[in-house]
Amino acid sequence: MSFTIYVNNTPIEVQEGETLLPVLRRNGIKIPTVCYMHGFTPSGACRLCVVEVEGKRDLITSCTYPVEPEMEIKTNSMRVIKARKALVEMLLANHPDDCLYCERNGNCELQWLAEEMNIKERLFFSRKNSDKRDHSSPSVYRDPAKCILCNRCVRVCEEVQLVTAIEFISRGNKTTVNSAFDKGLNVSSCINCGQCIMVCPTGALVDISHIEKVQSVLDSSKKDAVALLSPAFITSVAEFFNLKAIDKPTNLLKTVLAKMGFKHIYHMGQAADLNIEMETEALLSALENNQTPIFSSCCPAWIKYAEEFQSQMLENISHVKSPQQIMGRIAKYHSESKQEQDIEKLYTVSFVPCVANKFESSREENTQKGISEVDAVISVREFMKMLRSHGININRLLYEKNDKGLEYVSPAGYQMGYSGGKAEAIAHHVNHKIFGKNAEPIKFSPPKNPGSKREVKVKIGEREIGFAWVSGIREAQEYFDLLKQEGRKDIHYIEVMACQGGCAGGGGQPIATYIDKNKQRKKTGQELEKNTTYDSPGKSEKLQKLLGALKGDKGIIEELHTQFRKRDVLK
Amino acid sequence: MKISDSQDIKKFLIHQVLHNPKDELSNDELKIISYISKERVSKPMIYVGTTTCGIAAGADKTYEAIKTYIKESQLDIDLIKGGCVGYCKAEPLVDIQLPGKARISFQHVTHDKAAELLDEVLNNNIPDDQVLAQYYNDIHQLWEDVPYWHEMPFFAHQKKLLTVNCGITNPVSVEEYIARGGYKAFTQTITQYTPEEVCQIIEDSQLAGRGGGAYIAGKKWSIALNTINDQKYFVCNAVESDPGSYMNRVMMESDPHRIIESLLIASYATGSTKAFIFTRNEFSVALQRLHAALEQAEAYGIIGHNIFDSGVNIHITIKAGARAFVCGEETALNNSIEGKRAMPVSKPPYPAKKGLWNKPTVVNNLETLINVPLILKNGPQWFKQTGHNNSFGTKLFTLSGKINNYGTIEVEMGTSFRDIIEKIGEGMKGGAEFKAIILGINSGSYVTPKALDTTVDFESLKKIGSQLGSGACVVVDSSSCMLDLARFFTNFFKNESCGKCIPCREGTALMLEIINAATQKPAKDNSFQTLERFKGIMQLKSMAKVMKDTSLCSLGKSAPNAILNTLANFKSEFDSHVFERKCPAGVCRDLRTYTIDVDLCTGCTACFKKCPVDAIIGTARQPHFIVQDKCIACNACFEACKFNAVIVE
Repeated sequence: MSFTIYVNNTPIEVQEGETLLPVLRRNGIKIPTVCYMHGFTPSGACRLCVVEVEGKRDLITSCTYPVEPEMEIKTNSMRVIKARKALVEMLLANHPDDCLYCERNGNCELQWLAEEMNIKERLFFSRKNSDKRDHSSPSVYRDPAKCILCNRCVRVCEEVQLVTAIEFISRGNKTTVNSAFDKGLNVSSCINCGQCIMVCPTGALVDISHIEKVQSVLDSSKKDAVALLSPAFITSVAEFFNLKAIDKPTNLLKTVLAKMGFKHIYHMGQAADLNIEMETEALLSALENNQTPIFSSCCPAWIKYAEEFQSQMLENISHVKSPQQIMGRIAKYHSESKQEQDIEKLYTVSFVPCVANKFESSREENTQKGISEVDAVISVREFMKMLRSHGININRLLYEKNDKGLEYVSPAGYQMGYSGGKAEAIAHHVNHKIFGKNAEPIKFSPPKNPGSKREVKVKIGEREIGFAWVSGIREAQEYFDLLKQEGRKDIHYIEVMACQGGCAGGGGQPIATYIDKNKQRKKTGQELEKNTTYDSPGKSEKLQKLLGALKGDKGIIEELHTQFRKRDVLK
Repeated sequence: MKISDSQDIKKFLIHQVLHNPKDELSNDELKIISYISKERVSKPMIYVGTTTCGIAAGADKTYEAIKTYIKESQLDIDLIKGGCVGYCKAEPLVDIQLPGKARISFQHVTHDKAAELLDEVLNNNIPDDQVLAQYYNDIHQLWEDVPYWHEMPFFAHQKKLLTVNCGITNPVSVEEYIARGGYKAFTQTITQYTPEEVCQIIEDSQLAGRGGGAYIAGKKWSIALNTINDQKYFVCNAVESDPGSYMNRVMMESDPHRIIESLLIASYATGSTKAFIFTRNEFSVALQRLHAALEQAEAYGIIGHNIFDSGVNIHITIKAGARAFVCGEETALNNSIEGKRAMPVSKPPYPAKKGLWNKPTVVNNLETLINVPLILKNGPQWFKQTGHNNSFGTKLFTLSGKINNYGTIEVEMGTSFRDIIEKIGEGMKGGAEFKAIILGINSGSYVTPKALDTTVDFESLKKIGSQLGSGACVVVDSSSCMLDLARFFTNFFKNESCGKCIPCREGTALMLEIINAATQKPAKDNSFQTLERFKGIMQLKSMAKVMKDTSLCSLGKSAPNAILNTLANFKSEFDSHVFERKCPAGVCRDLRTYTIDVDLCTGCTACFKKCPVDAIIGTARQPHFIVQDKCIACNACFEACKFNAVIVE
């Protein structure tokens, strides 16, 4: 049922059951808020979205209040403006004023609010927050003093990721968002996905930065910096700078990284191809032995979740290393130009849109004799910073000749950058393995409505193989529960990505991006994918050559597999 | 009819009392009932008021002493751990009832006096210094020269409807409760009325919520009843965390069966099959007695599946939350029951439509709820006879502070505060000057001498900017600093804020800092800090307004009340703190100045030795001086001086 409400004396048609805030925004009225997140339960914590409603004694929050017929609303009366200003002033009273030293300086919602509310003078004098900082996690750095308790991270962690690694603790103005028993994220149930960083309005949650570590190596004669470029990273950069396939973003990035001082630059696509090849083999052998379903293993956050909460699933997860680790391994130990002393000298830096990879690179399984396969992980955000500090202007470089590209490009790598892509690549590769070179490419059509199940059954040869893809741990867990409940055996391969939308929505992407941005990245990725020269890893001669070389030495294929173990939380 | 053991009593009570269709009972039956209800006793009965207030005064030890006495003397005496009659002043209270004699109460019976008292009383002697009063009763022989309870000023001006059993019956005896007319209303309700009719009766009675909102309870119930859902819940809110109020605790400790009966009727009326009593874990005595009462009621078949073959299922669970003021807010309370952090949620949707586990849930204050059996028993019109000014029934208060009589009281709506102070309270302690009554922290409002004739009802209190909320009634005299009280309140809110919304979380902390700046002396009061202090105080009022305007729940909305009311009623006191830097009541220690009277000082150097900051200078046998800049107002010199030479201003 629809009816009319009056906003600032203008009639607006609304649907029953809607809350005010989306209605106002739809009609071009800007309402400030810090706690509201589209698609999440409104919490009503920040109170900044208050509006004045005729006949109500107090101001009401538009994010939680449902529309009522004949409502008369004032969105920007003096009473409202004064209240909002006072609220921001209260927030600023105990905020540590160290903006100049803050990661989010210039990209901070609190700064924007203070500017919008025209706050020019400190009215309240209060003790500054000085909560204990948490450096313990390999991926996420918390500075609770800067937290304004909007509870967005808490809701993402609970509602999307199902982990609830962080929650409110204490009361009153001593309240902080903290891990269980204030023990540090590293021993909490945190899966390092970094989604909390993505929603944090201030600098309370940022990633553990590897920039300085990398920069100290770049001009060192003792180390050779090696860049490993993930296709999802290339997609993200291309999307950020609005580059098309014709701009050859891969070549451009090679130029940029070479300028920064990287000695070798690899496209992680070959590792992605290897990963697909090995996972397909695992799937085929599981199909033979009736041990399906097989879960993908390329997302380190999903792996940590499974280790913590679903240890019975671990043996069904493919034991193939993630592309980052495969690439690091190959770059350090098996690159073509490798010399004996290289292993110690090489310093591998992976470029990914992910913060969980920082954790992955530090896993015990991924080091050998004290040497990590990947030494540092740079997220898209950090890369943007590096660009500025190295004085590189991407748009200008576009006009320069970028003919010399990376030797290896792969479509599967780009496919792995968004949810559903990897399942598609695997399906295609299975098809290829059975039918050989004449196999038609398999394309999954996306589900029509958002609520529908993301699964496809493909008839390959005699068999019908079920592929499914889930992103976001809650979605994944709900899907697993459904499969278990219905006792289904028709799904054989499940691609699991911890971040919504896959790596396109990864925790290392630029801040202030929402779900629709993920879709854009997916589109960019698909465009880049089309411009590769072949459509399946099986058709790549280079890969076959590499595989041949690796298979020749039996131990090496073993090296590209890993082990998972049950993990105890808070121990 | 022969009643020999508890099974016979149970049968008798269920069949002859609860399920007796005729209202008239035979004389024989009435006599049996009067023995069950302990109105008549066949052997001596000793009743010790062991509620929390009594225990604090030593009632537990008294109980043990009496127990030992009985054991040693090998007498056949009933010893009962009882409830609280509300007269906290006289704790520990011991009631003794000898067969055929009126029940008599003794005050201040500490454990060392117990044996002596019993020796006397069991020999029909009454020690004059300890006797308090006796209960008037025409079936018993009365004691001579002993005042009657109902004629004592503390009780004469109360109207006891809800607390009739408190301090009289054994709280954990379902037999006594039924014999005194309990559970009859419930059995009648489920056999005679439909849930719609019950809601209508409660709505007709205009019973208003005692929690502060004064929402008509019947309306709330109807909303829940008319919301279609397979599961509904009813919650009794017994989270009493307001400093200075403990009526709910007294009710739980003294008459738990009344709460259970009320909850059963309310659950039936709203179609709820599961009910919760949510209280605090600190109320250990209350919890113990509620659990015991619940077990007894279950044994009688009053709670559970298919109650008395009526097809009605109601299960009651007792939940004990951690100490949190915010749990009094219904949505926070619901979260706490669900096992989540007690944080309030925005309304609408109201819990009556979407509450516990997203099911319709009615949350009623304990005090509202216990009116229900009375209304159903006597009808809505009877209920509306008591009261005044569209507020019906009675109101419980916890009277405390600088007053002669203190304790839990129940007054009819329409009683003036003057009557409460002068008649029930019998005037100010030591004849001091009356300054204000603090009506609970939630409203943060004061009844000033000017408004003392305000009556206890929703409308009159609204006029003086207050509300009939918690029931705390703290009387203060001129020795209290109102700013210090406001500081106490603000500090309380600061600590109890759940931390969810900005205005409450940050606002309470900022307010406290501003008040601290006014009541405390900064270490170095340089000009800049003075400016800060003024700046803060200038903002105080507008900040309070924003907090009231924008806070998520009523905790935040009521947090600034104390300060706003102090500003409105005691502006001059506020001003003297801010401008003159003086506390008129002499409470704010930091604002005191210490000087030494040169004429009185003998130069004994006692203060000189005691001063922790070397602020006192002088030589022996010469008058000393205090250096004001160094003085931290610790009061050590004042305490040390034997010649009253230290002057405090």
